[in-house]
Amino acid sequence: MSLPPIKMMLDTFQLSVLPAAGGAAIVMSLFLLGGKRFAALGSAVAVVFGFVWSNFKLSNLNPSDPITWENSSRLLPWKPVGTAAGWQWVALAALVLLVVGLVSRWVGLLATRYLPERNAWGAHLLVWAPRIAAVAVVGYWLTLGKAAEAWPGLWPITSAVMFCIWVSLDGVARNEAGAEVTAYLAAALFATAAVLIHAHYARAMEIAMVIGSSCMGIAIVARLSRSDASGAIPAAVAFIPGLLLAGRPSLPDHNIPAASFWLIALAPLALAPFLIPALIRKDVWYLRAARGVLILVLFATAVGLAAQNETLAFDEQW
Amino acid sequence: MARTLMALALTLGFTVPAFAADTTFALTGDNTKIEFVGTKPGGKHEGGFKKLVGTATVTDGVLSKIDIAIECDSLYSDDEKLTSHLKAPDFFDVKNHTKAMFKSTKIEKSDKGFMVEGDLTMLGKSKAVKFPASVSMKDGVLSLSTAFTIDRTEWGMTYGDGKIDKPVALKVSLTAKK
Repeated sequence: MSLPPIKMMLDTFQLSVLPAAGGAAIVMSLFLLGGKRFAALGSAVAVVFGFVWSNFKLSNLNPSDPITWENSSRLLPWKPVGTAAGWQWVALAALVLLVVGLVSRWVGLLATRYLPERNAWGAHLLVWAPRIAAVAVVGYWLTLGKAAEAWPGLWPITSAVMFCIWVSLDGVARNEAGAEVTAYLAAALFATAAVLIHAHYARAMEIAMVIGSSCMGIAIVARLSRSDASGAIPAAVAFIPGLLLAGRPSLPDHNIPAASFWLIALAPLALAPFLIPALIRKDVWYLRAARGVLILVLFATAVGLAAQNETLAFDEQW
Repeated sequence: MARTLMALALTLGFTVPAFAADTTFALTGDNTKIEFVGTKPGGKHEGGFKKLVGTATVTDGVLSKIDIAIECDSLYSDDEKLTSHLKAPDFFDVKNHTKAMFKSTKIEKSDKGFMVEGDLTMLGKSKAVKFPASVSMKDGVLSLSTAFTIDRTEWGMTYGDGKIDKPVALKVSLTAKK
């Protein structure tokens, strides 16, 4: 197992980790100045800000080369071009899920307040029906492109995984574990970055680092302020399966086993057993520790498999 | 009727020699070399494409048209790991964009040689390019060589901005027989 060159790691830290984590943490903190009721909205805006701040580049900022959509993005085009492959849609997909996640959450809260208790299922329907529709649409975007055409069923599989991990993460986060879940998402995205760099796809690695760092910044602020950070979950719901599953057909030939990709994408489902009522109401350290260990073991296994089967493309030789 | 037939015969008489003056040469990876040199601060890497198909048309002994479709997955470079990275979506995205194309739109002969204009399509985006070329036609063998530079970011190949130089030097040489 080898590490990327020091210069590359420092560049990634300077260009991706710091702006994303710092920007997201500051935005989240600003929202919290208005009170904890703004925490969910703040975490959603923070993850968007973290990405935008890291994706924006100033290198072309001069009078002869005015800022346009095309020349001001560093990692991902701000808007996908024409017949762009799925990876170009991942930021837009995340934005759609973040908006749908927030709006459906507020609609659900209103419905819970006004619907009689026997009709509580109606509130769940109002929350999850738009989310199902949203993952179906963004799953389609993420599987656009010639490479994905050769992988039948990729669209429904990607959408189904997005839905399942959203349910699982949302369920755990709802029970005072927003910061914990956001920290898992940061770990999942860092593991995603590690697998993708072994697959010789540096841009996707850096995108995962940016979103993971944003989640890390949000998790730290949420933990310190004991506030909700679940508004950021939909971003990871788009980015993790989007980069790992929908992005797989676009990867150049590599020796990484499929298990590396699936272990990370499906790891949030390992939280599902903790949703049973007897466990979810218990906020005890050993349950939190069990969740953390379980998730981290899955990520470590995925990265270990990738490192065992493929060498890093970014050594000092070039 | 006789006049019509006469006109038709005259038309054909002029047309057939015009067609006959067009000679098409088949281009493949064996007779056409497309190579590139990418640079970065303090270094450079060379590479190219092994497979392509296309045609070069010579009209009345003068090069008039070139069409080439390059198989991007046949990309090679001087470093095996770099080859994998160049095939990734960071650069050529070969799984989504299997071919890069060049279609000439205008070829002009001047005292100094030929000036070729055409559309280069990479990553699904077409941009006009113009380059000088030296062309010769001797004993039924067409030879062409050219070297010019493109800005890779104009085709959306933006990865590594600041770490890898934007200009990429291209070198094309072909020797095709009828």
